[in-house]
Amino acid sequence: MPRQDVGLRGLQGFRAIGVCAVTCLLTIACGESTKSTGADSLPGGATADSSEPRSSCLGQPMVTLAIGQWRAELEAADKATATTLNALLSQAGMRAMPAEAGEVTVETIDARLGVGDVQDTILQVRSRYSDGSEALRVAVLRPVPGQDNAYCALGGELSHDKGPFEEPCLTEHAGPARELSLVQILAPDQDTIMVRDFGGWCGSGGDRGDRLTVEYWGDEGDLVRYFHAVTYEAWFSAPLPPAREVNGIVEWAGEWPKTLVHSETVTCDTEIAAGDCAPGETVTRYHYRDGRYAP
Amino acid sequence: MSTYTVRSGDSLSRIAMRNFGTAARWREIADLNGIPDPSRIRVGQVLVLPQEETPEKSTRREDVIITEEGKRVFYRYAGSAAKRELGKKFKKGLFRIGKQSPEEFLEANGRYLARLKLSKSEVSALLATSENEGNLDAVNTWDNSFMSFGMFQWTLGARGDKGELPALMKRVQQEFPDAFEQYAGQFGVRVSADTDGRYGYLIHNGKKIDTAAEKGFFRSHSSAYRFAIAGTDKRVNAVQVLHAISRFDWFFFNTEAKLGGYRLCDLLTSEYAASLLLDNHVNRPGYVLPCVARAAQQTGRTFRQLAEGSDADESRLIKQYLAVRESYGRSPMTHAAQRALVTKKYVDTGRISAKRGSFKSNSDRR
Repeated sequence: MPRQDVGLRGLQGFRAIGVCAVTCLLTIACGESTKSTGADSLPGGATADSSEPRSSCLGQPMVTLAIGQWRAELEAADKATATTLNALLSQAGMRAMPAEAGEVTVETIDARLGVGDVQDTILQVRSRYSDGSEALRVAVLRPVPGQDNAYCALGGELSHDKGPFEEPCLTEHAGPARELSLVQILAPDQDTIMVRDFGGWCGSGGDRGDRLTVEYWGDEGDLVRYFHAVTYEAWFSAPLPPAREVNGIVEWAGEWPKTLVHSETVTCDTEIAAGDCAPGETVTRYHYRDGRYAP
Repeated sequence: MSTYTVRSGDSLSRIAMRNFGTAARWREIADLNGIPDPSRIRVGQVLVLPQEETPEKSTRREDVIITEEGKRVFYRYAGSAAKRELGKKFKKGLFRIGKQSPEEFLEANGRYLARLKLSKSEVSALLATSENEGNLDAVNTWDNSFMSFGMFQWTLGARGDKGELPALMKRVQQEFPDAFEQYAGQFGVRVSADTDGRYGYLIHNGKKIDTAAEKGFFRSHSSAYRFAIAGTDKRVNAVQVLHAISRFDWFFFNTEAKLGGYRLCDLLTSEYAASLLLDNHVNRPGYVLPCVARAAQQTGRTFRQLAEGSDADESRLIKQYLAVRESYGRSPMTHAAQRALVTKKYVDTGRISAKRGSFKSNSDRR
């Protein structure tokens, strides 16, 4: 049977998702030197501010953002033009949406991605379109000490676009195409971002399938992808069932940092595969060393 | 007596799978044709297929008895002991590969096709595409699309989504109202008024169906049976052909900003190119335009140069396009290269032309 989960042990590691609601004015900066926008009319309540945040983001873009107000304006921008929406996204260091007039939802997650007590904020903006496509924009922000509403935007592209029909055709999934949550694999008090993608093709043409994956992203000075695995994959030419199915499970084992145990099973429908598929099982253990997980 | 002409890449087990829904019947084919070594069949060889008794068709509810035996689903008519396989159970429904090939239908039904005003180019392009697709009476009720039917596996759509099948059925209703009534209307199935030429919804017993629970009705074996039988009806199959070719109207003749204000039919004008684009569009409709745009960029020519170009320019654009489409998008076409080879075979055997300007559409006459 297809599996959409990454294993019970993974699920046990979930942390409660909090909602950030900071409300204040904002300025925009990029890199270490802040340029005043001088834009009183900026959407999102952005105002010109001549103050120049000094704190270093070590080459990462610096974002000055009143998250609560920004969020409120984004939600109000639901039916606004793409220009307004994309200007708001740009303020958080996010790239533009692929189309306008989507149904916009905003979510924030409190996280501790680094070592220590610094609380990071993950901003997610989703837009859903009437043709079934979706867009997700993500910014991971770390507060700059001593500067209100100033954040370093951790690099690493977690944004995602899903086109019409790019959805699973075998497994059941009612949620968005990309889901983010927090898990603890490095240390009990340090979060890692788990990214689960529910992709595939369904609803147009006979060439269909599923591709479900899991990734772990963490803070190594910048946001990096530690690990990636397929949890389910199968393609088929309707009406025939898939000739080959891949099921993957990721479990955690041992002491901190956890070892990731990836078990993968390939099954073949021998009537359909006609010798083009090799069944088998593999188990690969990934260990955390030097800022990355490797076999 | 039913026959099958061996194609490139065929094996006896694949032929058995395609025609009978099980690879296990390859030995019957081998025995019937006196083939001692099943690995020695050649392209173009005509094989006689095992005969199956065909009971008279009926869609009257009380006439049809559906039974399951293990993984197989059968139907028979009241008063007759002759049973036929409807399909094989899989997950939440069944699959039926079907027996009505588009090639045979197109070759044998000129009368219906004339009524549809199809050009020779359009029929050829469809033939070159259909070899990659399913049979006219193919049915799938097991995946998240609830019901998929026919040569292009038009679907009802996933839960909450529009589907392509209602648009096909709307066309059946327009062209052959009696056929629509026979296979759908008498069972309380209608097409929603907001269904356009591409997508839409069905209505069942007066209610527009949208949710998984509502669409689940179409997963029943009875529903699968009705579609399977509809797929053997010349009227329905003529509409399948027309609807398949009408896909060109969706994407081929429109002015596109991504193509510098040109149309696909300005840049790619041969029967070969049209067939490749149709094959792509059937499976990844949203990918066709960006694939061609990217390929055009990679040729180093302007859109104007390509639109006014030679056979060699078009050939270069096709080559780039085929390379791009193999990996384009989050869910690239599967077996894109193999599918392209199937289409190329039609060029190599003279059934479609790679010459610029060879694709002629009758779109404006319909």
